[in-house]
Parts: sequence; structure tokens; C-alpha cells
Amino acid sequence: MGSTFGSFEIGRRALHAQQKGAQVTGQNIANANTEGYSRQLVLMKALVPPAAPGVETPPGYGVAISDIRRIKSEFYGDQIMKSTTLQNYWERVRETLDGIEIIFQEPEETGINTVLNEFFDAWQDLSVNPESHAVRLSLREQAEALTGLVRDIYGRLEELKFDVRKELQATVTQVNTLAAEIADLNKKITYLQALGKKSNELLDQRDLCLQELSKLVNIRVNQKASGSLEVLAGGCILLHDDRHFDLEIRDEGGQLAVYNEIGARLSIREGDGGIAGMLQSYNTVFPRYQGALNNLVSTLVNEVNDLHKGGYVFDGPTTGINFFTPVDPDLGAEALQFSISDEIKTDLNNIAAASQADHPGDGSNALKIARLREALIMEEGTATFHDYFRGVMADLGVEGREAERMSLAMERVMESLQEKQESISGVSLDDEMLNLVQYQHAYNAAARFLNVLDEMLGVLFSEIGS
Amino acid sequence: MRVTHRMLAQTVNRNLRHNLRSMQKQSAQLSSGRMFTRPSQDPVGTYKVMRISGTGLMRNEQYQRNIGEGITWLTITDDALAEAVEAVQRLRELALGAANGTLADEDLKAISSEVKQILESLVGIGNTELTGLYIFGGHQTQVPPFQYNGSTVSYQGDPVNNGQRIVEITPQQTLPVNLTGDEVFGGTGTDLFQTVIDMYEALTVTHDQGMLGGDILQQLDAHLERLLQCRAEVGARADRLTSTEQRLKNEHIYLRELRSKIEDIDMAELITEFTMQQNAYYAALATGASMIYPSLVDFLR
Repeated sequence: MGSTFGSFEIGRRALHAQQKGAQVTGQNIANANTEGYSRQLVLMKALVPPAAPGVETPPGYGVAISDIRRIKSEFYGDQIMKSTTLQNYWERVRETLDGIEIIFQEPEETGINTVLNEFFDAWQDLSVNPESHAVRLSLREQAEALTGLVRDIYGRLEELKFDVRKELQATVTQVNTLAAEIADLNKKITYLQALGKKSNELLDQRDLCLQELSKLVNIRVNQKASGSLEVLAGGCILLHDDRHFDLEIRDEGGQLAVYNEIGARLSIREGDGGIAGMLQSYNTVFPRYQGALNNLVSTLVNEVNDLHKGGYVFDGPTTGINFFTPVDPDLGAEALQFSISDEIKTDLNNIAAASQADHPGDGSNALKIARLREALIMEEGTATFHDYFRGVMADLGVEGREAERMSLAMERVMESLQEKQESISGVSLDDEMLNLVQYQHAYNAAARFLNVLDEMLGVLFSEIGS
Repeated sequence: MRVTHRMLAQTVNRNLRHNLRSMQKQSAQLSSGRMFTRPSQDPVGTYKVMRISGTGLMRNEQYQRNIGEGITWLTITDDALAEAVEAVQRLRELALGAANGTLADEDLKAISSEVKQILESLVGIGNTELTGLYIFGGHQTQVPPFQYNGSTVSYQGDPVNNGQRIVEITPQQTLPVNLTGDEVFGGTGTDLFQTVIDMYEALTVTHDQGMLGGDILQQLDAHLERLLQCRAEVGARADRLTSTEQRLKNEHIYLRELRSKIEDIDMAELITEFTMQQNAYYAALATGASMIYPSLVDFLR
């Protein structure tokens, strides 16, 4: 049999425990919609007195809070981070390809495919009407339209590429901010742990930071016994304990790379988060489509000029004139140099439609140039200009489709993982209401218990003392 | 599985998003009338449509334009040839009449002045213009190919082997759409004009009736023969153009149908799908509205 006032202690502990339970329930309800919050559960245990031989086992000392547990699945947490990294990579690549598609505007009637056809059509027209000033004028306008369109498209690709670089810069800054924040949280968490305490809220905050970080870059997280974390990004140290290492971008001959502040180059591969998507865009995607334009332009300029130089001006003996300004890769992008030669700009009669001197009605050289449309010139003599360009656009389509498909697929994966995570960690208002009611009733009952004890003692004191 | 209110909200949200995404795609298709407007929506379709519209349809239309131009040239050439044939036939009648020998001087004079007129009109035919271009000069379209100085007619155009206007009518076929002056009227020295000048001289200077009925008549027959051959040639070329044009037109229809099959939407089908999607969206909205709010809170005092 325990002591008389021992029972009061049971009541006191019960009130305390149920109140704590209600308090945690309140915290859960308050954070039902907080991003990254994991529901908490009050774990209670019955306090059992040590059994002594020969003595009847007493009923116990009441209740104590053993832990306030953060309910979270580390497994889903990891999976979500990995999928986030992958999804953000594809999403970013897709954004780039989307932008490129919008710039090229195929298969619309305003795209290069149509305008290049109109250019060759204009040469056909000239071959039939070599004497016509209007036809010459229209050919020059078509050529202006073609060169202008290509320069414009190339220039806009360049702008978009520059935007990606700026975005990458901002994203790296964001990574650095997050790394600093995690390092700071590490410090707080290890401090508390050293004191034998813990803060579920700080852990949630740190998880949320890691989640944000995993959108941007591929990270590996190592948990330390001290409660602190070590985070590697792209295989290089990003932070450990309260120390973080800022990332920076370096331009290596037009190709961008990311380094940490102690000079280690991050190994960033396909799928490694938003930063990888930007690097992929800048280093590979843009150069591929800009290169294709340069290739198209330089070949077209050379082929047209070669034929044009062999022809003769209108009703005269002059020959050897360039139709386009010759392009030189040493002077920068060929596509940006794409323009009509000054001779053609100043005098329409300099368009060499004739194959013979002083043959104004001869359009056979124009026909030769018009026939470049059918000529297998590109891709080592296996494709026409149009085949080549169409192929490039089909590649763009396939790439864009792949990125979209991957990004949508990863979105679905994320959704289902998040649902699982939410199912474990999320706050259910029904659960919390039930808990609250339970705690309330238990609290009421404990209070009643004290009341009864009090009455019992009152009876004891009054009956015996009187 | 444990279900929370946030999960319900997220599910509703997700379903609404997926529905909206489909509706956005369908409404883009409905408003543009096309299955895809970007390569990534259908890379293979894009490739095909680019080929059909560009290399297919545009080139086809260009060839039709070329043929139209060719037909104009051949038509005006044929008209000129018909006039020339008529003139030569009249010359032949006149030569026959003059060779008769029973005509009075005044009659011969009348004949000779008509011959002179015909000569001038033949020079005019040789200098036929089409929108400012001399059609019988080969590539020399800027100046009249035939110059008549009162006693001789000289040809200043290009010879046939060097003056053809070549027009491309299919990727594999080209066709000359002009005849050069020497082709139509004969080589310098033995051309139609020389024969007419000789005839005029025989009428006015030498009064050589035997020559009129002999050499001149023979030469006129030869010229007539050549002119008729030229007309036959022009007719054959025009036939070739017309039949090629017909083929191109058929191809054009076929290509348009092909492109339409690839890129055009099936309006009825798409609208049905769109309506179904809309219903699904409304259903998701309605269930969402009734699912999100109630919890135990609403039922406890």
C-alpha cells in the first residue's frame, strides 16, 4: 500500500500529462497547414514501482511523458529529395526547350522552313523572269527576310542563353543561403542535443531547407551522432556542422562549371537538379541549336555565293559578285553575320541571273541557285538544307517531348511520394479532435480523481478528528 | 492508409490541375484548329508537315507559277506564229498571182505594195513583245531582234543553241518556253525576210515572173513548212505544260489532304472529348467543395 499523499502525486502527474497531450494536439492543429511540419505524438508511459520480494506489488506511480515524437518517414524523405532533384532537372531543361521552340516557331508559316522555301521560290521566279525589276526586288526582299529572321532567331537564342546564366548565378546564391541556414540550424540542434534536449521544430526546419536544396542540386546527407549534418553537393563538401562552403560559377572557355570555395569542381550530371538543368541548357542545348543555325548559314552562304559568283549581272559582262556577305567563323557566330552583300543591296541588277555575259533574258544561273533547294549538301551530302533544318526541328521536338514526359512522370512520382509522406506525417484534424477529446476527458477524470481523494481525506479527517 | 485533410485538399487540387492541363491542351487545339503547334507536341508530325508545306506545297505552287508563265510565253509565241503563217500564205497567193504573167502593171504595183506591207508586218511579228520583252530575241529581250533598214533585215538576237529560256516545271524537268528568231524565220541570209525582199525586188526591179513562180514560191513553201513545224512544237510544249500543271494540281490536292490528316483536328471528336473533360472538371470541383471542409470539428459541440 502506497503513502496517502502518493495518490495526489498520481493525480498531479495525470493532469500534467493530459495537459501536455492537449498542448501538443494544439501545436499539431496550429500547424496543420505548415509546409514541412511533421505531426507530433505524445508518448506516455505508466510509472511502475520496483517490485520488492514479499511485498504486494503497488499499483504504480501514475503516468509520465516519455517522448514527444516527430512522426516522419526517413525513407520517404530521402525518396522525395531524390525525385525532387530529378524532377527539377527535367523541368528546367524543359523550360529551356520550350523557350527554344517558341523562338523557332515551327511548323508555323513564320518559321525558317517557310521563309527559306520562299527564298528559293524567289530564285525560281527570277529564273523565269530575269528581266523583271519587280522580281529582282522581291528576291532581295525575300533574302532580307531570310537573313533577318535567322539573325533574329539566333539573337533571341543568345538572349535566352544569357538569361539562363543569370538565373544560374541567382540559383547558386540561393544554394549558398540555404547552406548557411542549414549550418546555423546544425549549430542550434547540436547545442540542444548536448543539453539532452531536442526541438522537433528545428528538425522540421532543417528538413525543409534540405528539401529546398534538393530542388537545386544533387545532395548527399550524412547524419552525425551529434545531431549535426554533413551535406555533399555534386560529390563536394557543401557544409558540415556549422561551417558551409560557398559555391561559385566559373566560365571555362564558354562552358560553365560550379566550384566550391575550396576549389573543388562539382560533378554535375544529367538529372542533378535545377542547376544541372541550367548547366545542360547553357553548355549543351543552346550550343547545339545555335551551332545548327551557324552550320546552315555558312553552308548556304558559301553555296549561293559560289554559284552567284559564276553568273553575270543583268545585261552586262560583270561577274564574280557575292550575293551574301561572306561569313567568317573567326568573326563570331556565322548566323549573326548573315546578310546580303553590299553589291546586291546597292544595285538589283547585280543579281546574277544569267550564265552568260550580256544575256539579259538568261535566267539559267538563277535556276542553278534555285536548284540548291534540292541539292544534297548538308550532313556530308545526304540532306538538303530543308532536310537538315527539319531534322534539327524534329530533334528539338523529340528532346522537348522527352523532357516534358520525364518532368510529368517525376511529378506523378513526387505526388505519390508526398501523399505517402503526408499520410504519415500530416496532421489529421479528425485524429487531433479525437485526441483532444480524449485528453480532455482524461484531464477531467484526473481532476475528479483528485476531488474524490480530497473528499476521502476530508471524511477521514472529519470523522477521525471530531 | 492514414488520410489527412491536407491529403484530401491536395488530391482535389491535383485532380483539378490534371483536368485543367488537359483542357488547356484541348482548347489550344480547338482554337488553332491544329493537333499541334510545336515540335515537342508531335516531332514526327512536325517533320512531315514541314516537308509537306515547304518542299511539297510551296514548291508545287512555284512550279505551277512557272508553268503559268511558260504558257503565257508559248501562247503569245503561237499567236505570232499564226499571224506569220497567215502572212506567208498571203505572200504565196500573191507570188502565184504575180507569176501568172497576165497582170497589168497597176496590179503588180498593188501586189508589190502589199508585199512591202507584209514584210513590215512580218518584221513587227519578229519583234513581238510580251510585257516589254522581245520574245524572239533569245536572251536579248531588251532590244528588237530584227532591224529593217529599208533594204535588209538583220537578226540581232541569240541563236537557238544559246538563247533558250529554260523554265523548270518539276524537279526533273525543264522546258524552253521561247523560240528564237532564227528558229522561226530561218538563218541569216536564207531567212523569210530575205525571201520577201527578193520577192519585192522581183516584183519591182527585175520583174522576174519565172523566179516568182519558181525559187520564191519554193522558198515560201519551205518557210511555211518551218513555221507550221514551229507551231506544232509550240503546241506540243504547251500540251506538256498543261498536262504537268494538271499533275501538279492533283498533287497539290493530295498534299493538302495529307497535311490536313496529320495536323488538322477532328472537330467533332475533340469537342466531345473537351465536353467530357469539362464534366470531369466540374465533378472534381463539386466533390472538392464538399470534401475539403467538414471535419470532426463541425460535429463536436
